[in-house]
Amino acid sequence: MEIFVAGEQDHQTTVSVPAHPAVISPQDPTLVIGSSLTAACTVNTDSHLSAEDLYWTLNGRRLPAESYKVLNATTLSVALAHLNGSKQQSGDNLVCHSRDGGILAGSCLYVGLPPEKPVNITCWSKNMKDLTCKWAPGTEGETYLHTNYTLKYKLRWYGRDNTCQEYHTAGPYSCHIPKDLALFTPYEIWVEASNRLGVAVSDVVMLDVLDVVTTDPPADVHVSRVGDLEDQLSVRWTSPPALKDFLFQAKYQIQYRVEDSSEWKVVDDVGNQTSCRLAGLRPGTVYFVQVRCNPFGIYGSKKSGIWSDWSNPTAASTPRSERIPGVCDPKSGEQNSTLRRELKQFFGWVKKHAYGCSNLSIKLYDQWRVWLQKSHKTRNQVGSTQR
Amino acid sequence: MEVLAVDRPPAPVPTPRRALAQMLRQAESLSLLLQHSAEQLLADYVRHQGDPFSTPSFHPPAPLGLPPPPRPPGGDAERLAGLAAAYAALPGLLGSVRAQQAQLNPGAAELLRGLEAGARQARGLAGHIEAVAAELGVALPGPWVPPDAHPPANAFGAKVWGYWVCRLHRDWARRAHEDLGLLARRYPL
Repeated sequence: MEIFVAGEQDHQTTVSVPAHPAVISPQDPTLVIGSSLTAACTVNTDSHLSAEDLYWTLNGRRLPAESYKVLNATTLSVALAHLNGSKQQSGDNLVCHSRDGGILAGSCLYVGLPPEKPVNITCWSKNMKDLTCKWAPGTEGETYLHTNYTLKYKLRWYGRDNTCQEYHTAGPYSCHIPKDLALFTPYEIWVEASNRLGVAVSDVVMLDVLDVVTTDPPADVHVSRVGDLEDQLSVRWTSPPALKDFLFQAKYQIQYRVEDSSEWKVVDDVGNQTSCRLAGLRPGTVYFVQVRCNPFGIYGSKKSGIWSDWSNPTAASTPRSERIPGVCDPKSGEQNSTLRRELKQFFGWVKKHAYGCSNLSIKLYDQWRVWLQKSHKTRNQVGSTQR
Repeated sequence: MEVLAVDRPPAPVPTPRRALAQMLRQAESLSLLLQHSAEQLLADYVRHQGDPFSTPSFHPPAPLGLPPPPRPPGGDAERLAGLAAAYAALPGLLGSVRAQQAQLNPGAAELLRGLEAGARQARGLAGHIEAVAAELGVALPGPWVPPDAHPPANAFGAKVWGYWVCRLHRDWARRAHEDLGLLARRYPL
């Protein structure tokens, strides 16, 4: 039989070799880390090669001749001990070569560990419309073999097992169920991990979708002064639109910080009102404020829901009285020149951004401070999602 | 009566010639894109198979059942026929490699996307080549018929088979860019 041995683009060589010049046994074995293997390469009698003409490589590295054994005229074996986990998921390449380096046959070794039971399954539903779950892959994690994860779910008292289809929506170990979810009925949810060495099943988690609801952040967050009060700001918002008809018992939280600080203060006891007054603030200071919502108690659920993301930061400044002793005394013109430079920048910004605005108000000044803050990206930190 | 000669303006380029020139420009551009992505695809492929696939001296025997690599070029008709034969086969072959790699390297999302994109681009170039050949009146060979199927014997065989397909894809992309560039210069806009 003739085959083309394709070389560089413009060269071709025709040689006569058997279709399969040699065969390795076993083919594509799967092994646990630390185990041993003896493989054998048998050359085809048509190839005019003998066992003495052969050598082995593993992932491109020549194996020592001491590990070889000539079994018969056409078969050379190799002994591999204490195998490490596979270097790549497609398998380690064990190759039998002729003396001149030619490749005669290969076999892929899959060396790894069976999967561990997936753990820490947590789920949440966005606005009661879907369910997303995430999990962790077990204590060791690295199996060296491709491990498949399947999230399954069923209604507790009836119904068949369902398999989640949309994976990796919230990280590598997550799955999203987009529709057809029942409310007021518990679901059983579990994750199966499988690879070439076995299967492991997580514990079953039971939940009612209504107990794990989260929602969008509150909308239309406004922060404003309370008259001339120097140490207070008023915060108002509207409940998240998707669930606004259901949030009778929703809880809200506010966090705020001064402009120059990264430390947020949290106001926890806001209850289900959609307004709040912050007090004990510093006069003449710009504050950034965020609000989030927990849709607790939907349809009478007794469990806490899951906090939404924080709303985008909204800024406002507390007023400063002109006559507070010892606070506003300018120091040898230094504060004046700083303020003047600031105002000059401010009026320049007004000219550019506030078209046709003849009435300069403190609101515009607040908006400018927000813009300035956002333009120093490292200083404007948006609160992180806590689940 | 004197008859005056009138200088007529030069006749506009005939439409079919212009259409051919534009076709060749587009095909040449596609072949350049194909060449770059085929080089990258081969590099990604060998990386995911592990050593010795990515060593410079790696040279396994070519498996049976693949189209031949590019031969020394001949006339325009021969060049087009060679390209047409290769690009009749490459989309399907790249698709098969993608299916095999989905089993061998299921986590290699970029490699799998590269193989899909390669098949798509090869299909596109096949269409361009057919159109150019039709415009030039070049008869193309019939569709490529693979010899008796020799499916890879095992995982290593599948890796080698895919290596050769990706290498052919690269080699033919280089040849396509050369040949279409040559034709584009022969039929300028």
